[in-house]
Amino acid sequence: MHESFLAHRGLRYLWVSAILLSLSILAYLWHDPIPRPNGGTWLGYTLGTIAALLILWLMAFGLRKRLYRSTAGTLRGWLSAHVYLGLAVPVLSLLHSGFQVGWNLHTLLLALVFAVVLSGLFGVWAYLRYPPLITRNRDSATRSAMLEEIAELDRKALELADRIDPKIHALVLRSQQKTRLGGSVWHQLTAGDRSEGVLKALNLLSERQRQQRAQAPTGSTMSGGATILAMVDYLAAAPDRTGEALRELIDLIARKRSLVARIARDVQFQAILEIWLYLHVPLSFALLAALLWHVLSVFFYW
Amino acid sequence: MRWLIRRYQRKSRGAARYSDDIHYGDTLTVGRGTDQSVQLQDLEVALEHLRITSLGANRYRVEALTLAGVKIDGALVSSAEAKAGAIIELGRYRLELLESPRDYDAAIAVIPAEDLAPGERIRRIPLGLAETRLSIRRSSWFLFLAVLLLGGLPAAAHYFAPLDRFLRDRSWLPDRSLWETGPLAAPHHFFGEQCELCHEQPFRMVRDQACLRCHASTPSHADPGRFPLPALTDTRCAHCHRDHNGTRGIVLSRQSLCSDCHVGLAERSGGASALADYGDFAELHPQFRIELPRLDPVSGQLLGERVEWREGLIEQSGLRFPHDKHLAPGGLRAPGGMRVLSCADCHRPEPGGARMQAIDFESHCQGCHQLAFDPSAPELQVPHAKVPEILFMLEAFYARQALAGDVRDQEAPASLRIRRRPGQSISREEREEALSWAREKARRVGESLFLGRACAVCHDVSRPSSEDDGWRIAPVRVAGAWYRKARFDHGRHASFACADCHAASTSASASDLLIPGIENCRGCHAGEKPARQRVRSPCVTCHEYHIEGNPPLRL
Repeated sequence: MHESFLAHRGLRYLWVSAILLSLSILAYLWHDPIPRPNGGTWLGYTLGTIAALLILWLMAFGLRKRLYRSTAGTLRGWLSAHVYLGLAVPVLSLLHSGFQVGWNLHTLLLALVFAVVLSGLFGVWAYLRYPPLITRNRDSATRSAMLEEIAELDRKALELADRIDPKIHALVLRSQQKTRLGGSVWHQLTAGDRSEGVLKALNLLSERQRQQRAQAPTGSTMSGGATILAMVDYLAAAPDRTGEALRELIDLIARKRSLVARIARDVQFQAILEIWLYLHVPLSFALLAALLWHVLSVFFYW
Repeated sequence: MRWLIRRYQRKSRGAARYSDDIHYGDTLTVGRGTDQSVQLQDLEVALEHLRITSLGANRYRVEALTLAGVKIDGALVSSAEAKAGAIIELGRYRLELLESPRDYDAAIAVIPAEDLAPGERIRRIPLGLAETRLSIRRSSWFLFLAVLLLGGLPAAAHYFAPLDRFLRDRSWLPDRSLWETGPLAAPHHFFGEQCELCHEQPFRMVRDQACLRCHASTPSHADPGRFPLPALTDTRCAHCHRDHNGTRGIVLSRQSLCSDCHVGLAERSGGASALADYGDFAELHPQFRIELPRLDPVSGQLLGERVEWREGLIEQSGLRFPHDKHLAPGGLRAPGGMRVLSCADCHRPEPGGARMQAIDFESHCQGCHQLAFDPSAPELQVPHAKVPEILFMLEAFYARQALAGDVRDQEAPASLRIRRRPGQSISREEREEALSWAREKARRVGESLFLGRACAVCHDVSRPSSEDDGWRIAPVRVAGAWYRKARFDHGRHASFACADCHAASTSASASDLLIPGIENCRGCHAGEKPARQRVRSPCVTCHEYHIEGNPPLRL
């Protein structure tokens, strides 16, 4: 049966972390150094050393992840420990500093610790929330299968449109060219529709279609929406024999639209699932550099 | 106009094959229709898709003839000017605008795209974060190196003084304060930017000699000769005085630093120390010991003596002074009429405000207590001085009167009451008579001054016991420091009325000690532990730790 990395071995690492924190907090409350708690007391050095070693070990998770043949614990166990012990680091750091902050390198390190842990927490949340959503959205299809289906629908739509009228063909072709999936980080994360920008560039619309768009109630910006509105309008005036083909065309485009929306959502979920790592890892390395100087500097000016 | 149309075949084994066509006309049309100059069999191409016009000098205008527009160098437009080298994407084809070869006015290449899998064209747009320009590895390196550089600036500034100056002169750049673990103590701010003044060598703890460079005259905590305690003599200054812990962090006020030794000292020293237990001011502090004047019978001088305060303690100041009379609300009869006195009329703070100035007869008393001695010369007063000076002045005054023959005293010999004319000589007998009278007169006036009218009002005066003895005025001690081991600052208590601590208005005798005991202070001062409606007062509120008078800190 599947066991979440959070529940690994009966929350073993949650307990480890909780005990470590409890002992540290008790020691901090008991300790009453002169003139005030700071990183330079024996407890300050102790807590700082524990936090620094933890940071190095937490960063080693990136190495363990790549050592597929390693037998030093399961990766799930490592992840579980990584999460729970990682959460202890900001608390240890605060106790180590005696809650003293300032505009200096040491507080930068503290801020980086918090940033890294917060981004990691977001990752935990995303890992709990998004995998089921992705599965449900894909509905047992793969992304490449959906992309192939879109290409097939596009091809069929063009064939149909070409049989109806060159103008309809142009409309369908425009709609297909405007179809955008993914793109920049922002577009992936927001599942944003970029057709608006393309629309602005297109000033070749015929006079008649401009009027039709003006009559459209809200001027939808959905990539397929404008195309469908234009065709509905055309359909009203078209002879009966093209009607059947047009209805089929509208059906094709509507199917494609829902497919595009599904892929966009798929891209979005995947991006959210990954984006935190793009902060978590680089910030960890910034943290490592700050940690090096932090340790070096306090002994340089001892 | 002569166009070159170069049609490429599908590439086979890397080698490109093409065939050239010539087209005559001002423009070149591209589309699926059979009437087009370049016909492309692809459903994604409109019947009439676009028109290319040569503008000369290898420049072209491309216009879309369909509302699907045309994609030039990746941008979907309806019409655009493009230079040679631009790529037009058209379904499965690429059109490249070429520089016109010799003998041609314009040229274009038609290239079939590689065989693309269905859906491939959509997938070329990034569908995952890994396909974007974002890279975990790159940004990790970037941030790591950026922080490494930033964090290393102070180290570089430490070894390279011009860089240090450069950074310090520009407040927007991080300087060595980037490494500062907290604000320096306020008194150290004037040299705070020169880290090496205290941190003499990298990776070595701050040494005492760095502290003593400025603090050479700071007295030690305890006399190292009398108290050779390793805890005091062998400990680094910075062990306790840790800087970079806030602007007030370096002066230690923790009570336990004192009370750890001063509680149970007698017991621990096996009786060698007779000191009482001193702990929290509110809970464990003996009654104050007041520095009182004590008359030494041998020397006749007043010596200081520390006496434990108690109710009704007698102060032997050597003076008579009823505070209550002087502070009478109805006022006092003074030469200028009735005068109401307040404390501040006599008790003025010293500059700095901590203690009171000594009372001084001439400025505080003489306005009322005049030292006139002869009704014939009411404006003349004896000086407030030693006995012989007063007697000398009296003798001189009466001798002059007698010699001048200006004596109005009816009891004086008749010869002294005759005013002499200037230049008139006097006989030897007359002179001796005058001198003898003057001596006797001075003695009598002196006696009345010492015993009655003047001195004895305030002073204890004792009559000469024998012929060659003189008058004795008891030594006086009016003001001074009452606490030898603590400091009391009147200035910091200026917001209180004098009567809050000193019961002067009901004191009828100078022997009343008007210095209050510990309970009075405890009315406002708590110990180290904060208490309701009390000022938190650890030991150093009143006591020094680097004790004045001790030898300077060790070198």
